[in-house]
Amino acid sequence: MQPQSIALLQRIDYDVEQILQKFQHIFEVSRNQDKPKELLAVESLTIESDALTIIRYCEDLLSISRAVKETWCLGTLKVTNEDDKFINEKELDKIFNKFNTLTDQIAQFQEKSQLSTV
Amino acid sequence: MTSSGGFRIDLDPDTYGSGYKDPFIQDEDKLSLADLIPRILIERNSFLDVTEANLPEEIANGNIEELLQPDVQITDGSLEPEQEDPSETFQQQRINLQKNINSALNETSLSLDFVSLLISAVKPNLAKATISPHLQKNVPIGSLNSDRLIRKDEDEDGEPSRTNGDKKDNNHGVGQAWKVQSLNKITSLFREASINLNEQVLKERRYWNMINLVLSNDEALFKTRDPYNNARAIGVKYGYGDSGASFRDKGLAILRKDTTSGEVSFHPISNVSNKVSEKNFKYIRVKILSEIDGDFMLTGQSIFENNFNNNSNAQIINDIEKARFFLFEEDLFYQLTREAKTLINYNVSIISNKIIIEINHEIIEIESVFYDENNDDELNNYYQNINSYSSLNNKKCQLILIYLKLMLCCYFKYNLKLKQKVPTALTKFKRSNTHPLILRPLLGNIRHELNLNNMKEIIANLCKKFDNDIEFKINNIEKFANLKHKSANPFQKSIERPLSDVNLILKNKKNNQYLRIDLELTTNEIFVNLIINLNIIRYKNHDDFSSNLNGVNVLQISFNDFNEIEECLEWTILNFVN
Repeated sequence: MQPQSIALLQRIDYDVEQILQKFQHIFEVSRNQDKPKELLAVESLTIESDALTIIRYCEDLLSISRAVKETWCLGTLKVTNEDDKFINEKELDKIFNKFNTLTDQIAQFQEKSQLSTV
Repeated sequence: MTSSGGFRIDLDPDTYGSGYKDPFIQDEDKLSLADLIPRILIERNSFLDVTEANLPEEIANGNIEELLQPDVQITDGSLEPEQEDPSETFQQQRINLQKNINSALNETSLSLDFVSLLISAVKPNLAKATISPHLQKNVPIGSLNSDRLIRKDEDEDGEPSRTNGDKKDNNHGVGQAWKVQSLNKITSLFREASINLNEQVLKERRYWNMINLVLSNDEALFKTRDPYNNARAIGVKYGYGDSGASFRDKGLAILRKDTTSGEVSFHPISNVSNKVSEKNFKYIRVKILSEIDGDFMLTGQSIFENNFNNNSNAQIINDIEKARFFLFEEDLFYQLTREAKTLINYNVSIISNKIIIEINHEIIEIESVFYDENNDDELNNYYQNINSYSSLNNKKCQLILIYLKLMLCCYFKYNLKLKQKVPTALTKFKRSNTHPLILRPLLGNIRHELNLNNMKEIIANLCKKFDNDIEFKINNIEKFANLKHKSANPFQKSIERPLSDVNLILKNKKNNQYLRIDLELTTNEIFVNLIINLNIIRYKNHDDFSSNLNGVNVLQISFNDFNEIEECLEWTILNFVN
């Protein structure tokens, strides 16, 4: 695997892990028995900050998906089955003849038109 | 000083001689200036109303003053509340304030030290930043600690326990309320964020779907920045820059994302200023005017053959296709004018947006016309096809248009091949000096056809003229003899100069001598010149002729003119007859 993809996978893993951890932390912290007032105040702020962190990581996941799509669209070389369409002699002849008749038609029209106008 | 004070009691005041009564009274003459001036100020209060008359009076009352002086001395020693000098009080208050500030500073730094020491047990690094060097030197870090003392419920005491219980309940309630509040807050935060993210996901999906659509249409995408706001964006190369076109417009465009809906829109950017440009679409129209009764009349016109809206249901693809189509047309006209410049000597002229080719009683006009989607009449030539004459050459015009486009493609292909070759001085020279072969082959082929007809006419005339003496045999007229050696390029007929062979065999009826005339009609690289290579061989008899032996080369010469060759042929045949 390419180092870039490994890094991306690691980032995804890390994000998900962080989201779960923070979520769990919210629940742990919301319990309040026999805690002093000061701790409760800190904890209620922690809940909010955890929530914001979760949201941030979710946004990060979205941006990862965007990056993946971008590399997918821009970073890859398109391989078309050009080999299947390789031109064989016969087809070349066909084009050759067609083109020649086209040229002839353009060149020869002259006399015909003269004939018809006179 | 204290010891000197002890001496002072024993000292006889008379020893001083100057008659001072009080030892506290200092000798004014011995005081330093810095002490003296404040003293005088205190004595006199103010110098404001000092007059010359006052002064002698004061001196006269010197004794009184001297009597007064002890009083002054006494008051000077202790604080005198009667004298309320504002500057004095100000000074005093200032000093007081300074003192207070200093002590406050001291207190603060002490308390900071204390806190630092206290915190040093838990967070030594944080403490180190604030602790004073003195304390740090003398007290080891982390040597002070603290703990919270929680008052236990005193069961024996009824009242305090109840109040304590109340307090705890209260505490509990407040804590719970805080938690509930923040939980509520994060719920709404989450809800908002989820709506937001959902919208973004939808937008992204729409955006990437469209990008993918463009990609699946085999377009080349690249990363770029939008010149409008310098934001990151995806660009599309819709032009022929990579396919061998040397046109100044490389055909780049931005796929701009609509931030509210995620829709992608197509915006071409011009190469020169790197700005988004609104293009005027132009297309090429070919017209043929024929000379009828001395007047040139329109006998044919190509139509605009493209309906962009039927190709695909996606607007973006249509936009790209449309831009590409018109870019090609623009490129084609540019190359045509480039080529036409070199052909001015051959009845080709350029007037503004028109290239006019005059040839054999016909005028071929190639013009670049503004594209107006709504003007159906003009695009489809409704007005032009009014009678049989006016639509006579329609098909030919269309064919010419196709031919021109094909030749431009051929030129692209040639350029591309050059690009792929190993760069040498020659290929570099070729690359920067290539000229497209579009107009020249067109003109060249038409001319060649005319020339061949002319030649045939001349030969027919000669046949008629010398019919009595000579037996003519037109061996063959081979058109486009060069095509016998086929190359891999299907466009060989137009990129190689046309070449036709005419082969004549003359037999003198009197002496059975044979004359073989080989004519080669061709042109140079401009394609429009006439070059005729003439080669004449004479044989003594039929055997020699059939075995191609003992032939005498009579003439080998090139011509650029039909009159000359006619004369030359006539003269040769005349010579041969006699």
